[in-house]
Amino acid sequence: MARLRFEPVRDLGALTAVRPAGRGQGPEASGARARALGGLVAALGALPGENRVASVSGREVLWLGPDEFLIASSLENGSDLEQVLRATGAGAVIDLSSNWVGFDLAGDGARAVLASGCSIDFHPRSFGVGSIAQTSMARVPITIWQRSPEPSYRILVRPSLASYLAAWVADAAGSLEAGSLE
Amino acid sequence: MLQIRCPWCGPRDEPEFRYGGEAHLRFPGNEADPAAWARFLYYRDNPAGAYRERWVHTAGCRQWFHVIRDTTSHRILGSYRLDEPPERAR
Ligand SMILES: [Zn+2]
Repeated sequence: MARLRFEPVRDLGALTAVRPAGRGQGPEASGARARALGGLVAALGALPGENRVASVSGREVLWLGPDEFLIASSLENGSDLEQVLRATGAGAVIDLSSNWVGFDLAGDGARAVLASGCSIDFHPRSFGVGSIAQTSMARVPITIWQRSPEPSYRILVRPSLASYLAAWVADAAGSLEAGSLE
Repeated sequence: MLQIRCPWCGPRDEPEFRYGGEAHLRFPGNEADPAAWARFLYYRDNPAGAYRERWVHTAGCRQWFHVIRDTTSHRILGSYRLDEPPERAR
């Protein structure tokens, strides 16, 4: 079994948020929303369902809520991705590449570390490859999604909280090895 | 601690949410008289039992939604989206 790994993501790529047009109710809003989502599908190849991530050739589209997506791309830089998305006329688009620090948490014990700081259920029956959640870990707001069945998870955290979170995970992993998290 | 089911994200712990007071208040309309405005702004129901209230999932999807909570036990009886009727609560 693979040992627990926890490391900063050196090249997180571009991160751009989209809030599709057509929020609210009524035929006008739903028409605008259908056009916005159609434009995004045309530009990105796919959109994820609720609480899911869609991965298409170098880009991951993260569902953040019913009116918000975050696109993580290794194909282009943040301002280019922003232009690609703006060109679809999809709605509000903003480059957030500098807004996040990424960590990868993987291997044996990754779930036990998450369980010690995070209240949601990471068991494969409820959270598998392509699942995403915005939640809190050790009282810090995070965005987390599973990228492989190993399991491996990518965690986004605000830069000002990143060193705290890294120290917290190292501590939790130490407790795990000492057997006190079993 | 309460566990609240966000209608979008699923069950989460209470610190992920903020409270928004009584649900289903009706905007009185711009032409309403001061008494109607006072009732809208300041009067709230205070039942012993099921209470329909608004919550927002601040740490998650940032959506407002409705919760039915028993005020005598704090038991969450169900939650439902803003565009759903209370009967859809689960
Ligand atoms: Zn939510």
